[in-house]
Amino acid sequence: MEFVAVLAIVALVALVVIAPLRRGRVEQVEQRESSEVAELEAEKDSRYAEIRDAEMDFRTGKLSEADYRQLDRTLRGEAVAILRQLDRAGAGEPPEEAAQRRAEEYAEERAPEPQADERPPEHAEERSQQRSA
Amino acid sequence: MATFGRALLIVAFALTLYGIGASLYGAIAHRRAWVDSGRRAVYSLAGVLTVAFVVLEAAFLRNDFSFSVVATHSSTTTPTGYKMAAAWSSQEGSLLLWVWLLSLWSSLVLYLTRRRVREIAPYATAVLLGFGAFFLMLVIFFASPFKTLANPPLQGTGLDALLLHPAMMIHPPMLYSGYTLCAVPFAFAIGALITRQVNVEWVQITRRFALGAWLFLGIGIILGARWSYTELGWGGYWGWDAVENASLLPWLTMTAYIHSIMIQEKRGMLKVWNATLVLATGTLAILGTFLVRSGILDSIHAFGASTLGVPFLILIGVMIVGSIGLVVGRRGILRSEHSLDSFFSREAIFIVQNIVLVGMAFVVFWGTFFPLISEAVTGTKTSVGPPWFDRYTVPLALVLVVLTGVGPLIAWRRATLANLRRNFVVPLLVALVALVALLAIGAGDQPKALLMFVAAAFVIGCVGQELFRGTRARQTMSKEAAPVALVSLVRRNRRRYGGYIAHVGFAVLLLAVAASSSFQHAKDISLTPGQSTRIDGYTVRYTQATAAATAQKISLGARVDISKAGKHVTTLRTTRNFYPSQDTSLGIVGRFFNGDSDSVVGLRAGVGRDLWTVINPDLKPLQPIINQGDATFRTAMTTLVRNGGSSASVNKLYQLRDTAIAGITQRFITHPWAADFRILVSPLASWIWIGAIIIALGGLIAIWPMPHGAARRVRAGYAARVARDLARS
Repeated sequence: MEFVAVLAIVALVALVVIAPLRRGRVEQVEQRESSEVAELEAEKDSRYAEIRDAEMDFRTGKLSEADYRQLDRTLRGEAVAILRQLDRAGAGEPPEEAAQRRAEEYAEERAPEPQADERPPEHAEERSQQRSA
Repeated sequence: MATFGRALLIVAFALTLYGIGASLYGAIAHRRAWVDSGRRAVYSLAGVLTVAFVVLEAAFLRNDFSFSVVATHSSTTTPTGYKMAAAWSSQEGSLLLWVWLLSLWSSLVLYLTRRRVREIAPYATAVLLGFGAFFLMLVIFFASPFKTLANPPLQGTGLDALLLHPAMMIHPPMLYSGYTLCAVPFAFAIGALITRQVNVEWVQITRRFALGAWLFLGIGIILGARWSYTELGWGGYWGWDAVENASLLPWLTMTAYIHSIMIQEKRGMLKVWNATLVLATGTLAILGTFLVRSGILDSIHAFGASTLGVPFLILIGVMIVGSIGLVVGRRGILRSEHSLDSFFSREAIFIVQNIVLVGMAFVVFWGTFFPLISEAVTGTKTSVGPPWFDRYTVPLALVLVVLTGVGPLIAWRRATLANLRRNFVVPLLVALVALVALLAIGAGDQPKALLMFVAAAFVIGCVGQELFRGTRARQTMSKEAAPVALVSLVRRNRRRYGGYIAHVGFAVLLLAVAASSSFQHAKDISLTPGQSTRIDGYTVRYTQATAAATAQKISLGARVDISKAGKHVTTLRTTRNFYPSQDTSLGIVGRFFNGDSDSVVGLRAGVGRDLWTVINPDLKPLQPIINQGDATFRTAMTTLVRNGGSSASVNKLYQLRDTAIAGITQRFITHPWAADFRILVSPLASWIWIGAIIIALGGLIAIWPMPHGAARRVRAGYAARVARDLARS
């Protein structure tokens, strides 16, 4: 009985472990996201977190307005640079994702502006820029 | 079932070897299918080890004394809950628990990262499976939990009496979860260094696991402290014991790491430092396991034997040499991308905090290993005691508490003097008020404790101000009511405010440690029923002796009434439990009184102070009666056996023995004699546990994932895209 149980477990484990070697699909699917894109995504997340932190620091009085404006400008500039690199790195985007993305862009650009915005007042000029875009 | 268990361990070991090979081949040959297969080996390992652990637990639950580990760590009278916990009270079971938990956490991290860090993950998989292979080798070749006995006994030895405590049921799994979680960032750091992908991605991916390790280690440490306070009968919660220190070391370095990675994430700085810290933490986690299991240092809870020393030392040696080699070899790509903008910045505070934490870890390491160092140098094993540790750790802890307040008040990158002034006024006022109040109530004669109180008040002022200002800012933006705004604020900035809450908990905990150690009143006294003593204004009266004899244990105890200014405050009950030994040389009656024993403390925990007492009854007055019983029953048993007495006669003899034991036990009430008591009045001791709960709550908030709103891709003007991404999250 014990022998049969061990045999069953070994067979099950072998099935689970060897399955990817019997399929060619995995490699094709997984190669879509390059490590460069992943690294840039991580950089982007970091920069976003830093922009949010700077805003919290400003709102809680740890940064003067002038310092905050300068820091925010720098960080957003860095974030824009990362987004540009991301777009360049994502050139090999599959056609169905590209089509989906273009549809999203279209909808996003024509979506009505939110009534209330949580950003500090000094971003008013950016909002108007966003509208004109 | 033991054969089944052994076979499962061999299958598991084969899986680790296969997984290592498949992952490395997949990584080197760029064959994703092999990498995927290697990752699946980890999932399968978790499945196989889960079955193996269930087999072991089942053996404990059904009292299968053919398993050596069950016979030596459990008995038919062990309560069910403790039978389950007995599995990890043994060396063999705890090693299996270690590798099982490792397989579970490894599966989780590899599942979550299956589409990320593609280059790093296979190497991390190989490292994690390497740890698995090492521990499986130990449980297969050195300490098998599935070893069987040729002649199983009818009764087991039972669980060590000291481990019969609720905290001990969850303390080891918590600690081992912490240790095994430390292996996750360690493995990914190794992968990142090998593949030269040392930027921010691997740090972000493993951050929650690092926080999880920190959280579990912290919970494990505090449960150990609670066990010490309520079980060991000396009234302390931390004795700088080698095994306690072994769990504190990775906690300290992990605390440093979870702060310093923020600098790497934000500024691309401290890459060498972070890699070193996380590699050191992983190594210290293995060292911690080694200390508990090797028995090389004397400890109240080093349960192991020295047979595992050599394999562990080899593993630790490989980890140290490999880590140093990798960090030195990759120093070129580990260079910082930026430099420190200002010494008045949060980065600078974090660096100072890191130095203090690592300094503290070094002190703890030196003190813990001093017996081995002194033996190597002088040939004599010399230990350093708690005063040595206190001399260095107390000032460092003070600086650390102050920094937990200063950090949140200073902005990233730079802070101006005007901002510093604005932010520090309120917390400094809070600290000043606390100082004046404490001096007024006469706390000035304990300067270290006084400083700790003031520092803690400063931290509470800092975090309180942060929460107040954040809530106000949130209210301005969202027009929410204050409580809703506070919740929203914390929910939207979990990492920041979770951290702040943990800082408050840390300050509260250290404040309570300072109060309960500096202003504690302790008395050791011998009392007979009816006698009383005074301590810190309380009258403590030993009103009644208590005694009970069951098949599991003999309990001798006391009822103690505590009053103040003639007013009854509370009644405490304390007992000393004596567990029957399986050692027949102690005598047929004597083995019931001279086996393992533990204490049940009488405790009234309060917001202001704990009233704590423990009894240590002297058994000497009973010894002549016990000896007489041993002689009488030995003679009776020998006579019965010689004359071929029936089993009914033997059973009758055992019944008589049980009646005699009950009678001897009752003498503690009918002929009471003096018993030793330790009585403590510890101010604010309960706040140690409250502080720990606050830290854990902060850790949970920080670890909780944010909604994944920002993940969607949006193409528009780049500046607008940044703004929209930020508005989503």
